[in-house]
Amino acid sequence: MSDAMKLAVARGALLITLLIGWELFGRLVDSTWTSQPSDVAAQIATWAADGLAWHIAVTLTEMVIGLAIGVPGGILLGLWLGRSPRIAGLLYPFIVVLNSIPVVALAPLLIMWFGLGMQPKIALVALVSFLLLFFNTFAGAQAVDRDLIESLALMGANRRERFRMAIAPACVTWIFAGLKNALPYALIAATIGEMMVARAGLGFLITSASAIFDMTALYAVLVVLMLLGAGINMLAERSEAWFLRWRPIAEAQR
Amino acid sequence: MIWLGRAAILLAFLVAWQLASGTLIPKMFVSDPISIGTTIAQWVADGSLWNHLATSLVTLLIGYLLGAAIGIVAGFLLGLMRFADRTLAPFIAAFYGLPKVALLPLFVIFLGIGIESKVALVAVVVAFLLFYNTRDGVRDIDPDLIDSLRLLGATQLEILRKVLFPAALPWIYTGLRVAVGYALTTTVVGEVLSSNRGIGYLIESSAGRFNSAGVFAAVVVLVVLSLIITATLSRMELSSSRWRM
Repeated sequence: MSDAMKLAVARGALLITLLIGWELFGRLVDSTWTSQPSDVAAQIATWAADGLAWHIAVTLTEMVIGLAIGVPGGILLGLWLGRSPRIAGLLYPFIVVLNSIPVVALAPLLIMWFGLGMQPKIALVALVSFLLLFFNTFAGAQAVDRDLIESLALMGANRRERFRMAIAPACVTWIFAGLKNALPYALIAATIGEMMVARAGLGFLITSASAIFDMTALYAVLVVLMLLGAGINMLAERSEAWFLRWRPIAEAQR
Repeated sequence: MIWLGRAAILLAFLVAWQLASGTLIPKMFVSDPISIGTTIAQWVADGSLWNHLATSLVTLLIGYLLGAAIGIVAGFLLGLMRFADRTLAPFIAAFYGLPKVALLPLFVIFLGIGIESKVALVAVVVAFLLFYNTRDGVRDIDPDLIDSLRLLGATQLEILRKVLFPAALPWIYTGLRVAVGYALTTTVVGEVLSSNRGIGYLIESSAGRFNSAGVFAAVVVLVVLSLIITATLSRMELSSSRWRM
């Protein structure tokens, strides 16, 4: 048996053992707290026919709009401050303080400001992704090789050309590192926001299931959320690899 | 000179905030620096601040230690057992993709609304970080080093003590360092979502009563706590890495 096949068999066997063990525990011992996979699957199927897509869409919409606001904002501010050493030096302590705020803990404040709809979640995703992208871009813009910029200047490049030829490409790596963090973090932020107060979304499904001790529903949302999260992580990694495929291999492997 | 500029910015910000509050923006939304200061002073005076701080810190510490221990042990085990590691990889990745806070309601149902549920959540978050760091560290070790030691007649335990552990240590350090921030965030978020004590609870309960001064006061306390933790860590790191080249 080849190595890859052995691996596939081992994984399949493990998955099946886990599911059967869980199912048997639920059926033979007690299903009050652990539910069982067949019920969870049935619950997901019921939801799939009725409204699950809507809740997923709400969560994804919050993420997408929040990212669309936060990411460009963070990149722009990071580039600007990273290339303005005097202002950055002046603001340094404020940046440090900003960096140490657990932003998601501000969710209650945002709910107070923006109400119960999608806006506070969008604001939270935007804030989180803004800060992540800002810190990464800022660090990247500061780390640009000075010699590179100076030789370009010697060759007569103006400010705009120096930015386009040296600074922007050097920051791309950092920006993508930030983006790779921001995607899963956007899901976390949206979920937290929804778990606090919401009328729709996966976070809302979690809280409403746990409020009535509906364990089957709770496990069902966790499964959906897990698949969504793993998908987003995979997307983040793939897109980074794809966008940065021009990098030399040694650097790409870091 | 530069500190003068910084102080001026801070002062201008605070004054603008104080003046804009109640005139340009409703006070209910942004509160104002003086009310926030009074709220903190009040919390200090009646001692409630220390209770909440202590709750958060205890949760953070227990969850962190528990999670780090689990993560490091699991990282060593799977770092050494390649086949088991590759078999489990998709399962672990799937769990890693789940926003861990989503597990909080489950923990609250099983462990109650006390600190245990938050400790469990923090432990899960920290364990994942430490697991990935330790495993990568163990895998990064030059296999020749292990082989030559084995040829020299070293036992499994000696190899673990003399090669694996020291080589993985820098990776574990990095994980431990990064995990502190995540642990603090997770503690506070857990408390915001469901608890009856702690800094996160202060934020949530103030927001629930539309007491914006309370929310900002709690956030200020949180930022100060976070800064103290970061500064302590940097100092510890400096003094513990003196021996390194």
